[in-house]
Amino acid sequence: MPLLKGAMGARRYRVLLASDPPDRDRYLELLNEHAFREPDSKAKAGENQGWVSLHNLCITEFTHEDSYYNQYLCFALRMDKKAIPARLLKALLDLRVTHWLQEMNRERVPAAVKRELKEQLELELLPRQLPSVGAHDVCWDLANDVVWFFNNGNKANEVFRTLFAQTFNLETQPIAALQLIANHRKKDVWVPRLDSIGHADYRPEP
Amino acid sequence: MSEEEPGAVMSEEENEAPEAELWDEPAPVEDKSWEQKLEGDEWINESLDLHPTDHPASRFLGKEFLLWLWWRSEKDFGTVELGEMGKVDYWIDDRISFRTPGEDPQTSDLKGGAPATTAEAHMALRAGKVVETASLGFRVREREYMLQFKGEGMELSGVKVPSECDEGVDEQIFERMFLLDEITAILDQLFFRFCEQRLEDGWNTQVLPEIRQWVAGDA
Repeated sequence: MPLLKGAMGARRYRVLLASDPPDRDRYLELLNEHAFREPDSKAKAGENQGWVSLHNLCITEFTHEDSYYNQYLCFALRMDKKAIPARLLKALLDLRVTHWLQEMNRERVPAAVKRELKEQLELELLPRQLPSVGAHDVCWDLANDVVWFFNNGNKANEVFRTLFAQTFNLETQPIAALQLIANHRKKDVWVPRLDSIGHADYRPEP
Repeated sequence: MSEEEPGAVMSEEENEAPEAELWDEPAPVEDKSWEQKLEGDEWINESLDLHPTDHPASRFLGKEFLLWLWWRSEKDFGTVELGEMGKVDYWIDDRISFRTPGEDPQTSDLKGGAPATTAEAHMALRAGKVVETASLGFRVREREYMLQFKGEGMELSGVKVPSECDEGVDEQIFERMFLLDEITAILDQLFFRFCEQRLEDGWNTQVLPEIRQWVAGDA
C-alpha cells in the first residue's frame, strides 16, 4: 500500500476531462459499477480485474468516507491471474497419457484425446487453485486533474488506463518529457526544436 | 561530432540498428501525417498529446536529462535555486547504471558509496555509454528525498519521502501526496532548466562542449 506506507513507485497521468465538472457522487457510482467481481466459475483460468477499496482488496463497495480524502479520490486496481503451474500440468498430463495408453493398449495418443485429457485435468485442478492477486493504489487528484497509479509495470499501467477510460469515460495522458514540454510556456520554441535534434554525442573530441 | 548527428535509440526493443548508424545518422523521422493535418500552434499540443511516445525524442531526452543532472550537480556543487521552492540540494546517490547503444548492449551497474564520482563512471561516458538509471537524492527545506530515476519515460520508483504522520488515513494521504507532489515539482523544474539549455541556442556552441570537457575530465 505505497500510498500510505513505504517507498513509492508510480506513474502519473493527466486526466483529460470532458467539459462537465467532476461529479463526486457519480464517480463513486461508476467505481461501484466497475468494481472487481469474482469470476462466475472457479474452473475458469485467466485474468480478472476491477476496482477495490484502497484499504482492503476484498472490499468492492465505495463510499465517500473510505474513498475521498480532501481533493483525492483513492482506490486500488485489483488484478487476479489464475493459472495452473505449467510444469505441474505437464507432469500430470504425462501420467494421464501413460495411463490412457496402457488402458487402450495403444502406442500413441491422438492429439484430440490428449487435448481432452488436458481439458479434464484443468477442470479438476482449477477449482483447487487460488489466483495470484495484486492490488495497486490509485490516487486521483481532482483539484489538479492528475491521477497517480502506484505501479511501474507496463502491463499493469495498460490495464489501469483501459479500465479507467471504461469506467469514467475519461482519457489519461502520461506525464513525461514531451508532455511537460508541450505544456510549458516556451512550447512554441521547444517543440519545433524537438524535430531537429537527435541524441547528443557526449564523448570527448578525439 | 555535432549534436545533430545521432538518431540514437537506446531502448532494448528499439536498438535494431547497428551502433554506427545510431551515432552517425540523423534521427529517423516516422509517420508525420498527423502534423500535416493540424495547423498553426494547435498541432504542437495535439500531436504530442496523441503521440506521446512516438516522437524519437521521447526515447533519449529523459536519459540526457539524467546526464545533465549529474553534470550540473558537480558543476554547481549540487545546489540550485528553484524559484518559490528556494534552495534545493541534489546529488547522484549510491547507484548509477549505463548502457551502450546497439544490438548487443553492454551494461555497467555501479553501486555503493558515491559511484558517480568514480573513474569507472567517467570511463563509461567516455566509452559512449548512456546513463539509464540513477538513484538521486534531494534536500529541500530540511526534507530529504531518495528515489530511483529511469531516464526513459522519466519514471520514478523507490521514492522515499520524509513522511512523519503515522495515524489517520486522511493525514497520511494528504502528507504523502504533498511530498510526492513536491519532489515531482522539483524534478519538473530541473527538467525545464535542462530544456532551456538543450532546446535553445547555445547548446552546440557552449553547453555540449562544456559537458564533453567534463566527461573528458578536463573540467
